[in-house]
Amino acid sequence: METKSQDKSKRLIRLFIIGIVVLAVIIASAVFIASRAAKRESDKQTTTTATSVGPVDADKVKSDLADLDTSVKKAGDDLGSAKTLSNGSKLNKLGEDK
Amino acid sequence: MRFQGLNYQLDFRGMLAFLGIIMASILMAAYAPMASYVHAQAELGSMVQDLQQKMTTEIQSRIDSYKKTLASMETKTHIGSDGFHYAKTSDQGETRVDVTKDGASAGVANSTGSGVQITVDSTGIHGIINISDEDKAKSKAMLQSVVDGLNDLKDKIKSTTSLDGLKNIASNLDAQFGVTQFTQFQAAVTQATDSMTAVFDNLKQVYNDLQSQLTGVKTCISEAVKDGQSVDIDSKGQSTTVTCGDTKVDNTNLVNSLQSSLTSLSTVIQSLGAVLSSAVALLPVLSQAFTKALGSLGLSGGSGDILGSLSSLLDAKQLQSLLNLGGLGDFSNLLGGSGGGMGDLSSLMTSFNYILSELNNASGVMGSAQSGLKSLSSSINL
Repeated sequence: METKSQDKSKRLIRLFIIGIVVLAVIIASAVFIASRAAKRESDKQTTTTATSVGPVDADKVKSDLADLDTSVKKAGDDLGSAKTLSNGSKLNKLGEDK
Repeated sequence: MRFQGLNYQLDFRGMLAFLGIIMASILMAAYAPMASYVHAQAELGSMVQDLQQKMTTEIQSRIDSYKKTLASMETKTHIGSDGFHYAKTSDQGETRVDVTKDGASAGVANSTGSGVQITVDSTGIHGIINISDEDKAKSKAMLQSVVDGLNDLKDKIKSTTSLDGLKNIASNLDAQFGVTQFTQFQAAVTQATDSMTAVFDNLKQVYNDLQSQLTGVKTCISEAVKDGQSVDIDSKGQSTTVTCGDTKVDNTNLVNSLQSSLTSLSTVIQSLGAVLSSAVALLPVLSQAFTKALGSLGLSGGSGDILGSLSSLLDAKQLQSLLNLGGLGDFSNLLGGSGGGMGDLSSLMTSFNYILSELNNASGVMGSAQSGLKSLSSSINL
């Protein structure tokens, strides 16, 4: 009689332990899935932040640099012309052959 | 016919022969001076044509040179009123604005002589350096009046057939050569200064672009850290790596390094602005002095008609004062003598050359700033 009772107790304890293990696995899985979801969400938020870096994007900088190049070239040309006039404009007196 | 005292009798034929000999003798005697006269007239006509040709060619050469300067004044490389940069040829006027929006409060350097403050803060460089539209238009109008006067003169030369008349026109034109060249020089210096202010605009714009990008990256990184988002801390625990837009900048150390380099460039751009603002303030003063000097030489016919008398012949006194400007050929020596309105023009020449040398120095600084900004842009942008 006692033996039957002990067997029943042991079975219940075994079931309890199995239940605990299963529960632990379920909880661990849930935690893992939740953390993955949180990471995905975190990555998404970083990207969102990235798109709001500022109103100036690379294309605008490229375009403005091209404008800068154009203006520098023109300024160089204009400065060169003024310097040429300052250094001596070799125009001839009327009636003289060039 | 019977000649008394001579036992000589001519019949009608003989008489005709005699008259023929007389006529032939007269013609022979008259031929040399007539031929000489005709030859001289032909030679004179050839000389007139030759001089007309040479004068017209020389005038056209000057017109072409002045038109080149005028054309350079048409091409704009400034920031437009719409806030965007553009480089195009247009007759339309433009209104320069500071695209950073708060630039106006930082002061404007313009050719009315008001001061300028080029300031730098966390949002970028602020301040406008501007040659007024009115002053640019005045400088252009002066040179255009020279071109118009020369075109009128070409017509006058065509209709002048006497050598003395042509020589008179040539003397007048030669006498005014120094002044017309100065007009071109003045316009060229004004244009060079204007072009440099456009470079300043563009340098400022690129600087402000990069500053905006760095500020954005800084915000991005700090927000990422604050929100506990996915960030990587390097082995020393000093750097935060995060992806922020289409930039290469992904950590705080790099942001700080780039910010330091950018701030150094602001000093360079500020000094360029200081040089340009002094040139911009000086230009209208010199232009006014030039107009005054022209008046003293009898060449100013009012503000809208400067050099309007170019196609008219000057009186002896005016001609003499202009001839005192010196010889032709080398413009740098044109104003080296004394007399007439020359003293004014001589000191003006020195002043314009001073502006030119300042622009030359600024040009070197401009190149450094340009390459620095390019290098920073390639470090920031993908």
